[in-house]
Amino acid sequence: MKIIKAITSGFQRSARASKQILVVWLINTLAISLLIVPFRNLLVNEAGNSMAPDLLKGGTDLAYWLDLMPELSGPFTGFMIGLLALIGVVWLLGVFLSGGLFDTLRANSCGVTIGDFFKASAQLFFPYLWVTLMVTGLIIISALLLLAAPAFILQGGGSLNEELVMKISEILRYVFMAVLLIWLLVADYARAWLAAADKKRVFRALGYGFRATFTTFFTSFLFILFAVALQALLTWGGVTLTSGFQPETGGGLFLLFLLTSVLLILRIFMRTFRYGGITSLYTMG
Amino acid sequence: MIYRISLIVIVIIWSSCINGQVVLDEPLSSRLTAYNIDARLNADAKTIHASMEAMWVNDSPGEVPDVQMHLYLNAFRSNKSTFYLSSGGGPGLREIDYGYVDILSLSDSRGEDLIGRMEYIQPDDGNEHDMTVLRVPLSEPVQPGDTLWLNIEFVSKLPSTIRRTGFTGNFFFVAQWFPKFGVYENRGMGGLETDGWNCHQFHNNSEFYANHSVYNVNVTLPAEYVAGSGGMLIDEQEMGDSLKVISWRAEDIVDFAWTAWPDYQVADDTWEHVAIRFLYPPGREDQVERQMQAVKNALEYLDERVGPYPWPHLTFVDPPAIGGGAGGMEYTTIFTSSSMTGIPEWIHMPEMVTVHEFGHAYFMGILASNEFEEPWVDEGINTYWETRIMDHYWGPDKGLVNHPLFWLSDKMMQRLRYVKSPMRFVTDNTPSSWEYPHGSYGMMSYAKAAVWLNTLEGIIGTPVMDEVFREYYRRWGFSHPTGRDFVDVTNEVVKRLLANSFPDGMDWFFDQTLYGTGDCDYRIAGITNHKGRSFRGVMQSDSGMVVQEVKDKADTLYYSTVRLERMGEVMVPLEIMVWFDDGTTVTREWDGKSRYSDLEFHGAAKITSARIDPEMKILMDTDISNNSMTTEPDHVPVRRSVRKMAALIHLFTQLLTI
Ligand SMILES: [Zn+2]
Repeated sequence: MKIIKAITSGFQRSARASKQILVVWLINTLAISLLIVPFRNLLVNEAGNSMAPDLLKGGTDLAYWLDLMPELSGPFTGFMIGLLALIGVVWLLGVFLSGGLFDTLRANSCGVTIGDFFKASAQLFFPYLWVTLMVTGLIIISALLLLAAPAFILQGGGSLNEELVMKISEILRYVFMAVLLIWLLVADYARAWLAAADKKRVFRALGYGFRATFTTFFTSFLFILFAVALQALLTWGGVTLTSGFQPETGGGLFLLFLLTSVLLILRIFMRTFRYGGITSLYTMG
Repeated sequence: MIYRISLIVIVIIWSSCINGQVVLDEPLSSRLTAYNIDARLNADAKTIHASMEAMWVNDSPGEVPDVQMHLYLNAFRSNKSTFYLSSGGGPGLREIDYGYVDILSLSDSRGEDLIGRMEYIQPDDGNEHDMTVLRVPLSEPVQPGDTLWLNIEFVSKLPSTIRRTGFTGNFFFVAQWFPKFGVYENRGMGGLETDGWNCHQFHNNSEFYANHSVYNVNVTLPAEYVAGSGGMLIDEQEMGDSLKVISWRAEDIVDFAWTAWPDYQVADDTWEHVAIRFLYPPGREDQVERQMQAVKNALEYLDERVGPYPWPHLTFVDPPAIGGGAGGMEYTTIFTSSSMTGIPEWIHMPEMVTVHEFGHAYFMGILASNEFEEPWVDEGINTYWETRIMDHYWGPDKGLVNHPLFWLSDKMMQRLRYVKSPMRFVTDNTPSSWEYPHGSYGMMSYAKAAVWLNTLEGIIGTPVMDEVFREYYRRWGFSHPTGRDFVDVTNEVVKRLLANSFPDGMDWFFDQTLYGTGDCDYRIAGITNHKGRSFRGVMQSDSGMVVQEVKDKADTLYYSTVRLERMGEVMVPLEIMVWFDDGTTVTREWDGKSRYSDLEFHGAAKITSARIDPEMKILMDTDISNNSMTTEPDHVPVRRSVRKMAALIHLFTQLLTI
C-alpha cells in the first residue's frame, strides 16, 4: 500500500511543482539554443542557394552530412567542443535545479515561489553535486564492469565461445539495469534527506540513502522501477517522434518544436515525479 | 606443336588424378601450373607439413633457366620483412607468433636435389631480410613447350596474428601457404619487352598474381575440425587416431586456400548450377539468410552482366571474432566475409563485404590481372561492380544504409572516400600497389577507380558499359588482362556502339582519370532573370528629336541566363536541367570543355532553379553542393535537421541528469 501512496503523493507533489518544472525546461532550452541557433544559421548560410538540401527531403540522405563534414570541419569541431561544454553545463544545471525541485516537493502546498526554488537550489548545490558525482561514479564503474567487460573478454580470449559470451553479456545488461536502479534510489534518498536536513552532510546523506534503499527495498525498488519505466517510455516517445516526424513546411517545423517541447516537459515531469515519490517515501519513514 | 601435345597430355593426366573426378567438363584456362599437395595440419604446433608435386609448363618461345616461387608466409618471419617494414610492427614476441615456410627437400622430376641451388631474391626493394621470393636455377633450362616437375617437402608455420592468413587458438585460415610459382610472362604481355618471371615480394599493400591452376589437395587434420576450401569436396574419410583426411580438387583457380575450426556451423544452398556452402560461427544464425541472399544476388548480377560463373561450387566464410583478421578476403571459389551478431538489417555492411569478395571471383579470379602491379584492375573494377550490385538490390540510394529515416548509397560512399581525400592529387592510377604514395593505395585503387568507372558508365550509358565488360570477359577470361587491355576493349566497344558520339573512343576520358590526377568540378555560378524592355529612346520626328516609347511586347518576356563554370581540370560532357516558374523544365547539353558557358533562355517564364548533372552521372564531380542553384531556396530541411538535433541533445542531457 505504501507504493500506491508514494505514486499518488509523487504525482500530487510534482503537479504542485509544475511552475518549477516549466522553469527547468525553459532554462535547459535556452542553454541548448545558445549552441543550436548559431549552428543553424551557419548551416543555412552554407546551404545558400544550393538545392543540395533536397537530399534531406522525406528523410536524411547521409550523403548530405558526409559531404558537408570536411568543408565545415572547423565549425564542426567548434560545434563538438560547444556540445561537450553544453552537456557539462546542462548537467551542472541539472544538479543545481534538482536541489530546487527536491525542496519544492517537500512542501505540502503550492506556496513555493520561484525565488524559494532558486534559493534552495543554491543552498543545496554543493552537497547535491557531491552526491551526484559519487553516484554517477558508481554507475560508470558498474557499466564498465558489467557492459564493457564482455567485449574485452571476447577481444582477448583465444578459444572462448562467442555465443556464450553474447548470452552472458545479455544477462549482464539486465543486471546492470537493476544495479542502476539501486544507485538511483541511493541518490534520491540521499537528496531527499539533504533537502530536509538542517546540516547538509553529504556522507550522512549517502549513508541514509543506502540504509533507506535496503530497509525498504521491495517498495522502493518497485516504485523506482515504475518511475524509471515511465521516464524511459517518454525518452523512447521523444526519440521516435523526433526522428519519425518529417515536416516539410515552416508550420510543420513549429509543430515539431511544440510536440518535442511537450514531450520534454513531460520527461522532466516524470523525473520530478520520481523525486516526489521518493520524498514521500522518505517522509513516511 | 610439341607444346600443344604436351599440354593436352598434361591436362589429361591432371584431370584424372583423383578417382577420375573432375570439376569442369572442359578446361577453361591453359592450366600452365598444377599442384598436388598432401598436407597434415598439426593443430598444436600450428604447422602444416606437406609434400607437393608442382608442375609448370613453359609456354614461352624461349628456354627458361630458373624458376621463381612465392613463399608468402616468410613475410611473417621477422619484423624486417618487406611486409612488416611497410606496415610497421612485427609478427610478435613469442615463438608461436612467427610464420614461415621451411623447405625440407626440393628436387626435379629426375630426382636431382635442388636445395643447394635455392636463393632468396628481392626484385622489388632489395631488402635482404625479405625471403618471400625463392629463385631456383635449374640444372637444365626448361625448353619451350616442356613441363617442369618439382617435388617439394615443406613445413608451413602459420602466424598468430591473422593478416589474411594465420591462426588464433584452434581457428585456422590457411592461405598463401605453399610454395607457389610466379607467372612467367611472355614478351608483348602488357607491353613487356622480354620474357621473364613476374614474382613480386609480399608487401603490406599488395595482393597476388598467379596462373590458373589445377589443385589436388589432401589435408589430414583432427577429426573434430570442420573445414572448407576453394576446392570441390571429393572425399572425407576417418583415419583412426581421431584424424580424418579431406580431399579437394579445384580447377582453373589462381589460389588455393582452406580453413578449419571445430566450431564452424555449416549452411548449404544452391543457385542454379552452383552449390553454395557458408561456414559461420555459432550464434550468428541471424546472419545466414542475409549472407546467402547477398551472395546469390551477386552471382545473378555478374552472371547476367559480365559472364557466367563457371564453377559448380562456392564456399564462403564468416570468421568468428577471434579470427576477424581473416575477414574480407578472396580466393575465387572461397572467400571470407565479415559480420557480427545483431547487426541490424538496415546496415548492409556484411552484405557489402560478401558482394565485394564474391565479385573478385570475376575480377582477379576469372580475369586474373596482376594485383601487385595494377591494383585498380581488380579492386577498382570490383568495387565499381560492388556499388552497382549494392545499390541495385538494396535500394538505389540505400545500398549501404537503408533505415526508414536515413540512408546512404554505396556509390555515394565510394565517391565520398575519393572526393574528400586530400591525397586525391598525389598520383594517378598507374603505380604498383606498394608504390602508391602517402597512404593513398586504398583510396586510389578502390575508391577513385570505382568512381571514375561509375562516371564512365554515366557517360557511355549502362548498356554499353555492360557490353564493355561482356567483351572484356570474352576476350580476357582465364588469362591475364592488364589495365591497358581493359582500356582497349572499352575503346573498341564504344567505337562500335557509340560511333556518333565518340568516334575516337574514350582515351580522352582515361587520360584524365585513370592516367590523370585532376579534379572534376563544375558549378552554377549564377542565375539571372531580366525582364525585356520596350524601346524607349530619342527619335527623329517632325518637331525634331523627341523621346518615344515603342511597345513591342518585349516587356512581357524574360531574358534568363544560367552561368556555368568549370572549376576543375577534368572535362566531361554534361547535362543541365533548368526549371521555370511556369512549371516547365528544359535539359541542355554542354561539352564541358571551356572554362565557362552561359545558357541563355528567352521566354515568358523566369528560371527558378538549375542543376548540373541532374541524374548524377558524373559521380567524380568533387563538389555537388555547387551543382545546383535555386532562386527560392528551401531551408526547411536544414532547419528541421537542426531542430531534431536540438531535441535529441535535450533528451540526451535529460538522460544524464539523474
Ligand atoms: Zn577487394
